[in-house]
Amino acid sequence: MSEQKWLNVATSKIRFRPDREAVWRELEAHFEDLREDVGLTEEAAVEKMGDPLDIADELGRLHRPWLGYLWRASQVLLWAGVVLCVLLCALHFYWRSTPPEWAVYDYLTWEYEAAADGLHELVPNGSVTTGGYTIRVDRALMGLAGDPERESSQWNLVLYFHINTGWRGEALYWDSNVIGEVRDSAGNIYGPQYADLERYCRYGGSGSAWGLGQKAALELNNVPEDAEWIEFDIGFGSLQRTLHFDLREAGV
Amino acid sequence: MAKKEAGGASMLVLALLKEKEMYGYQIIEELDRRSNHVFQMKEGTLYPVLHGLEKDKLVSARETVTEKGRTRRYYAVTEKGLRALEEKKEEWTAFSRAVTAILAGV
Repeated sequence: MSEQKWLNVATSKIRFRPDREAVWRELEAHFEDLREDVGLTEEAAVEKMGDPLDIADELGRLHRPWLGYLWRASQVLLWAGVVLCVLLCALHFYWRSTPPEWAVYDYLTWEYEAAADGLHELVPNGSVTTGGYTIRVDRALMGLAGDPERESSQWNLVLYFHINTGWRGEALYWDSNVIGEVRDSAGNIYGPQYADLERYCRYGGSGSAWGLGQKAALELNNVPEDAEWIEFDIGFGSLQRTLHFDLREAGV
Repeated sequence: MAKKEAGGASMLVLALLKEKEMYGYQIIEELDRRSNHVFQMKEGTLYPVLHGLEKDKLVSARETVTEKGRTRRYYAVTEKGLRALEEKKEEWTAFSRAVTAILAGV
């Protein structure tokens, strides 16, 4: 038997590779001592070392792999845990510092929430995807503006949108360039506010936070009580889509 | 008797390492020399003994590289190993006295 074969057989039952290689090196060093210090031939050295099978089982029993694997696994888990903690902390602080423009999400509602009697929560519905953005109605309120006793009171509809800005996180310009015609089931058209029309809409959007998306709001002024749905043309050219919103009162 | 032999080998190894740290081949040489060639074990069988002692923390090991670039693993006895050696010596003394007593009567 050659020295190499002797070493391979003697360490063959050690399953954990780093341990097997370490024991292999130690036994090989012993062979070197026999050959170089004592001057034995390889054959004589193998003879002196004895039967490798005699020690293979014993070495395999002593160098159990599960300890080695457990140690490795615990190291990997530890580092994975550290990296995960750092990532989570970074994300947490990033999301906490989202743009203050998100406050714009609230600016259209304060006068309506103050007049709670004439405020109706509607079922949020309707979404479109265009140009890599998904625009979805998050919340819808129908509020009575003005004095309910007077004839001049009117219903205004406020819609809150969530816009998924994808992995890039770039905000969608929420303005008249993106929002085209707005119409209801009665055939009314809602123009921009500055046009001083009987029915108009005004809108506002926030910035975009990566991973969280963007918020936007749209208010329609003087919506008929019997209107069943509202439609918006969003986007332009080949990317134009229509978002259809059904006016359904929540809890009814 | 096999168990006693293994126990005997570890006791002898601990006794040698009590004096100074040694590497594998050195231990074999010392055992051979001091026992006047009585203890001439197959040299490979030393290593399960050494690794077993290390696993039980009766010895500790460190690696060095010689001038010739040879890696040597030196073993040294620990405090726990010294206590174990004393226990094994007492056991062996009791055993050998018992054997002697029986043989004296034969």
